[in-house]
Amino acid sequence: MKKTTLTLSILAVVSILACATVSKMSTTVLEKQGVISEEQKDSIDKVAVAVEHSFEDLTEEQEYYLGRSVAAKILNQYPAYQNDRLTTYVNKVGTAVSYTSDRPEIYGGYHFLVLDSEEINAFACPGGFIFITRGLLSTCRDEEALAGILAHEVGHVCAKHGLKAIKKSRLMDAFDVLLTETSKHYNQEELSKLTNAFDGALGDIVDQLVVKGYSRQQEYEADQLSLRYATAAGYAASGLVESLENMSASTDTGMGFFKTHPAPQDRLEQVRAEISSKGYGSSVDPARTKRFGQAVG
Amino acid sequence: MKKLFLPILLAVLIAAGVMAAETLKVTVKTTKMRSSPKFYAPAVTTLNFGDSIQKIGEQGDWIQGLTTAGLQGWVHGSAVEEPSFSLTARRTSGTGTTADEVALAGKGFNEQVEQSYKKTANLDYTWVDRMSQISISEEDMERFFKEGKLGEYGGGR
Repeated sequence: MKKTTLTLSILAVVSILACATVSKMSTTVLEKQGVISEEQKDSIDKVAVAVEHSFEDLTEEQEYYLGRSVAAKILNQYPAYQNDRLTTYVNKVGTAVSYTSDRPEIYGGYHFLVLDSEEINAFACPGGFIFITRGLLSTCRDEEALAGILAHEVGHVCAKHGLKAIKKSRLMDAFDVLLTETSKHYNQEELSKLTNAFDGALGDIVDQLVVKGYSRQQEYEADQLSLRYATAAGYAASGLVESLENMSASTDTGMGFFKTHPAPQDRLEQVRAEISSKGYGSSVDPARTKRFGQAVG
Repeated sequence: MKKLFLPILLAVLIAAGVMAAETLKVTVKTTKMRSSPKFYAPAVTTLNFGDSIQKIGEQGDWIQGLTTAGLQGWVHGSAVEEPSFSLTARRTSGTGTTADEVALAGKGFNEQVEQSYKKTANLDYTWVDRMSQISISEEDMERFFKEGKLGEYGGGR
């Protein structure tokens, strides 16, 4: 009898672990039938929840493909600013702060592009596609400020804030296909289901990036990451302070960045407290300011 | 005999875990194995998604490894992962066995899904493709760090 109970328990655990959609009901039934103890039920529930949560955790490759299409949607609304020298410079600053980030190597690497818009805004798409508008760039007085902004956007990518905007139902639909299909090439029905989930997920991310904005907490987190990444690269912590002060002084407060971000004044308070508590340095090298002027000015 | 079964099974699983821990798989599309543990160090070779390296050392976030061709160098820890065999691993493949990034390669939201989406979305990917091509060489990045007194040339790490 003991052997049967043990086998049943193992089978129960394995099936629960294998099925992410399982509800706690299954373990409750098993507990009531005396197949597993209350303690075992609790521990299985915890693992099952962990597996369920992991469905939010897309592979880097999937993040990359989502990011490509989110970037395409952004570029559908904002044209690219065609200036090779400026593009190269912005990519150097962005790459420098990505080196000291939590995810310096991502599937397709980080890529930065300036958008030809007067609106003050920046977007971080999953997979490392990062945009800054000419309007926001024009509020920067030096490389430190630009590094602070780009490190903030890299922070959103590292913390996967864009992916967190995807509704769970889309992921469940997508992973439903993924779990039942071992082939990498999908048939029409599977492809249609995945494409619908993909479309929905893109909508969720773009809505977050362009319309609603990230949560206040996510913005503060990206500010903290920005300070850590930029100062680790050697930039002055004052860069982010300066960029927030400049935004705060801007008169264009009704759209773009101001619509989707907490007020710069609120963020400034948090950023100053973080700099003070971590003891981040604020030494600006004139060579950086000079090259900023040459590339941006 | 039965009493021996569980300890033997555990020993095999632990040994497999130890052996697997030494082999790492590349999880990014492409990365460089470098001659020293820094991003702008000269490349020893290029590694692609799914390639294996044998871990022989580490320094900070960098892993010292050997390629299957016997080349030795450094890769950043964020570009590789240990293949996972645990029952409670974060992802589960369609075969019922647990899997990792590499085992899930090409599945889910992939190029086929992007192509399918493109047909209905009427979106232009020209600039996304151009953006993906932007690449700054190691030499240019080192010059940028040196000139701007960044990283090891200034106040960074």
